[in-house]
Amino acid sequence: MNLYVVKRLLLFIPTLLLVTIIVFSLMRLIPGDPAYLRLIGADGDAEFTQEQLEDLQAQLGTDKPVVQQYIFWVWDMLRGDMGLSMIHDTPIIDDIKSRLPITIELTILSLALATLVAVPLGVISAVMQDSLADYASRIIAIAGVAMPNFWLAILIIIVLVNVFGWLPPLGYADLWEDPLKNLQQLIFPAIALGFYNMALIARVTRSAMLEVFREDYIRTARSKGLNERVVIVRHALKNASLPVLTISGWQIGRLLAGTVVIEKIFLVPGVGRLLIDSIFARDFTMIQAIVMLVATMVLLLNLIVDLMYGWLDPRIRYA
Amino acid sequence: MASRFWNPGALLLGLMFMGLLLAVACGSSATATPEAESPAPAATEAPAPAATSAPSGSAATPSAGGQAQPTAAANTPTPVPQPASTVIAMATAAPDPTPTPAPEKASDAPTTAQAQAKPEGKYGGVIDMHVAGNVAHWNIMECGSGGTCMSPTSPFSNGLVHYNGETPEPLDIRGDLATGWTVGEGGTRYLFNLPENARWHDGTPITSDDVVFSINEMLRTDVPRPRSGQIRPYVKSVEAVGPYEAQIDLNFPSSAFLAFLATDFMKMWPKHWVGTDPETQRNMRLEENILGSGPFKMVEHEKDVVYRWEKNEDYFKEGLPYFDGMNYYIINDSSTIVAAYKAEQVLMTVYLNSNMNVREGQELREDREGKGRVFFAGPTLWHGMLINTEAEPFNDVRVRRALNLILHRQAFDEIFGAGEYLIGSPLPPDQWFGRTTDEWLEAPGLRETADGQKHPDDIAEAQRLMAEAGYADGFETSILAANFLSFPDMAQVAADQMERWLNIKAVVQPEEPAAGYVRYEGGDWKLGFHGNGILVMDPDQLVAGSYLSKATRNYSGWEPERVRELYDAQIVETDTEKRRELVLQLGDYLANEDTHVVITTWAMLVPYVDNRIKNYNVASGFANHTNKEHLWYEE
Repeated sequence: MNLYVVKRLLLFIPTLLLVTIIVFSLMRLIPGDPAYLRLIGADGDAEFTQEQLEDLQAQLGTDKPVVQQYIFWVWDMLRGDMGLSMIHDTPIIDDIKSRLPITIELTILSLALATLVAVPLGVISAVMQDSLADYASRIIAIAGVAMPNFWLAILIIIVLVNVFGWLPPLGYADLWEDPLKNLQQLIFPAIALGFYNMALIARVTRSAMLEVFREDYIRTARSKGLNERVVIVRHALKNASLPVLTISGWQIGRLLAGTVVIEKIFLVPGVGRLLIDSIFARDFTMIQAIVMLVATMVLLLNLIVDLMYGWLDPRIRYA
Repeated sequence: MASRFWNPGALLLGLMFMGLLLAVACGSSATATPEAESPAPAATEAPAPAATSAPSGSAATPSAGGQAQPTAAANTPTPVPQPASTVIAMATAAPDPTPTPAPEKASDAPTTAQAQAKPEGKYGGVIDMHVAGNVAHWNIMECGSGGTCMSPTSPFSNGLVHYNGETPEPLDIRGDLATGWTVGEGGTRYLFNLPENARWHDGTPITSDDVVFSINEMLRTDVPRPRSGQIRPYVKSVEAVGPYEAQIDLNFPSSAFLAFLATDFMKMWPKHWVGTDPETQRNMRLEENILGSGPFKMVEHEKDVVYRWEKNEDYFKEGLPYFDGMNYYIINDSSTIVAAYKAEQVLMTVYLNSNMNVREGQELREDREGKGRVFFAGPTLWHGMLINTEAEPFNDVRVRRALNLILHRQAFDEIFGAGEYLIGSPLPPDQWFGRTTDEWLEAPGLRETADGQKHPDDIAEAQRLMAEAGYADGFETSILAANFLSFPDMAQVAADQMERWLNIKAVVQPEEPAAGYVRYEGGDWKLGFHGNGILVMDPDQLVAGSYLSKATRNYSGWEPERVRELYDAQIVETDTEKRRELVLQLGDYLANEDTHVVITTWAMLVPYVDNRIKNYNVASGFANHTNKEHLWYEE
C-alpha cells in the first residue's frame, strides 16, 4: 500500500507541472497584450503613449521572455504569491481567500442534496424495477443528465419570480453569521448545480443495486429470513455504495467547474463568479491563478479518490 | 419484496424533510419579503425649501429650431451659454482643437450661473438599486467606463458643474461644487465661485487649490485620461484667484467645454490627500484611497455583491441628499436583472446602462406597467460597418457608395433593436442640427418599399456602381468584428445583405476586442463592424469624433476635403440656422457621396426606475445624473 501511495504522489507532481504549462500557455495564446488591453480600456478607445505601454508591460512583467515569465510565475505560486490582479491592483490571494469558502460551501451543499435525493431514488428504482416508480425515477434521472445546469438555473429564477414573486435575498450572508439567509441564498443554486449529479448518482445507484441483488449473499440473507429492509440497507446498499462514493468524489471537480455559470446567475460571490467576471474584464493574472487553483483542487481530489480506491480495493494497489 | 420495502411512512418522512429544507430556504412569509421592501424608507416630509424657486425646466427651453433660449429670471439658474440646444460629442474622440464658435451669450460682460435650488422632497429610506458591473478601479481620472468606475465614484464625488437631474432638459448645466460662475474675455475665461462651507469627507475645506489641482490632473498627458482628458483641447490654463475662486482660461471660446466639464467623469480630487508629486501620489485606483465630498459616503464594498452608501450628513448642499442611504447591488446577468426588477428587489438602475437588451426592456415594461418605467434612452451610441478606405477594393469610392446604399438599416433595427433603435443615418436623427427620422426615411440608402423591402432603386444604383468599378460579379472579402455587443451577429447580417444584392462574399472574423483593436490599428482588415458611444451632444464634436481623420473609429484616416471644409465652416458659424444648414450639407455628403462608416443604427440604453423613486429624469447621456442627490422615495 505504501508503495502505491508513493507512486501516486510521485505521479501527482509531473501532472501538476503539466497543468501549470497548459494554463500558462493558454493564457499566452489568447490574442492581445494585457498591458495594451488595460490601457486601451473596455471600449477600446482610450489614449496612451508607447512609453506608457512599455512602462505597464515592465510593471506587469510581460516585457520579459515567455520562459522567464513562466519560471517567475511558478516560483511565485510555489511561495503562495499569486500576484496582483491586473485590473484591480489588489492581491489575488485576498480575493481567493474570501471567495473559496463560498464555492466550497455551495459545492458541498450541492453534493449533499444530490446524494440525499439520488440514493433513495436509485434504491427505489432498483427495488421496484420496471414499476411506475422505476420509470418515473429513470425519467427524472435522464432529464437531469440531459438538462444543462444554466438552463435549469434560469428556469428556477423564472418560476420563483413569476409564480412566487420572490427571489433569494440580495447581498451575500455568511453561513456563520446568518445561516438562514445563507441557506435561502444557496439552496436554489445548489439544486441547479447538483441536479445533474443527482441524476448520475441515481443511475449508478440503481445499476449497482441491481447487480448486488443478484449476488449469492443477498439470496442467503433472504433465505435466513432477514427483514427485507435489513437486506436492502445493510447488505445490498452497503456493498453497492462503493461505485457511488467513487462517482461522488469525481463529481466534485465537475461541480466546481459548474459553479462558474451558476454563481453568476444566482449572484453567489464565489470563485466561479470571480473567474467569469475576470474573463470578461480580461484580468489575465486572476484567470491564471483561479484556473490553476481549480485544476490543483481537482487533481488533489482525484488523488484522494485514487488512494481511497486503493485502500478499499486491494486488487488496485497490488496491480 | 418490493411492497415490504415500499414504506409509505418512510417515503413521506423523506419528502417532508426535503419540503422542510426548501421551506427553510425560501423562508417564511416574513423573510420572503423582497429586500427592496424591507428597508422601507421612513419617509418624512422635507422641510420647506428656504424660499428658493424650483428650477425645473426654467433654465433652457429649446425652441422649435432647437436653439436654446436662456431665460433670465431672479433666483433661476442661468444656463451656460450654448450655441445649440443639444450638445453631442462622440464619447472618446478628443475634440478637434479648432476653435468653436463663441458662445452666443459670451462677451466681455460676464454672464453668471448658479448652483441648483433644492426642490421639495421627502427624506429617508435606504434604497436598493442595480448596477451592472463591479468596480474595476476607483481612479475617476483614469476611468473610461460608465459601469466599472464612473457610476461607483459618483455618489461620493462632486464636479465643478453637472447636468441638472431635476429637469428633462438635456442642456441644463448647473453648479455642482461651484455655486456659480461668470464667463468673460469673449467666452474664453470662466471664473468659478466655490462655497466656503464645502468639506472633503475628512473635514478638510475644499478650496480653489483643489480645483486647480484636479483640472491639472485631467490635463496630464503622462498617464491615461480616456474621458477626463477630453477637456485638454479647450483648457489653456487654470489658476486660483482666491481661496474660493478658480479661473479657467480656454484656448478659444467653446460651448462644448462646459458640456464636457459637466459629465460625471470630471470630478474634483482632494489635493492634500492625493498628493502633488506624481512619484509619491496615492494610488487612486485603490479603494482604500478614495476620498470625496459628495452626497454619500461608501460604508461597505463587497466585491461582486454590493456597494453600501450612507448619507453625508455634513454635505455642503443644504437639505441634500434625500435618501438615508443606497445599496448598489451588482448584477450583470440580464435574466437575473429582469427578475430582480420584477421581484422589486431593486428599484432602479444606477445609470443608463442596465445590461438589459431592448427586448428584455420591452418585456419588463409590460410587466411593470403602472409600477415602474423602462426607458429607451439615447441615442447613446452608433453601430455601423467600418470601411478600410486604404484597402482594395474599398479604396474605390464607388464601392463605398454601393455599400452605403445596400445595407438595409431597418433590418438591423428589427433584429437588434426590436424597433426601438433610431434609423442609421450618418448623423443622429431628430436633433436640432440634423434631419428628422421621416426625412431620412426618404433618403437613398435608408428608404424602403411600402412592404418593408430594400428599395429597388437603391439596389439598382448600387449594382450599377459596382459594375462601373469593375466588380459586377462581386468579390470576396472579410468583416472584422470584435466579440462583444453582438457585433459578429451584426456583421453576419451585413454579409448576408451584401451577398444577396452585390454578390460580395464576406467572411465574418470574430476577434477578442484586444486583438481586434490591434488589427484595426495595424490596417490588417477590410471591413469591420463596431460602434462608438456618445458622451456629449454637439455637432462639431460628433463630426470630429466620427468622421475626421483622427476620430476614434476612423482607423484608415479617411477625410475628404469637403468634410473638412464643412466642418471648419460650421464650427466658426455663430448663426444657428446657418450652422444647421452647414451640418445638413455635411450629413447629405456623408449619405450620398462618401463615408468611411455605414452607420446601421443609433442605439439606446435601457434603464429602469420604480414609480416610487421621485424627481427622476432620464439622463441625456450615460455620464449624467449619477450622484442621486436629487432623488427621493415616496409611496
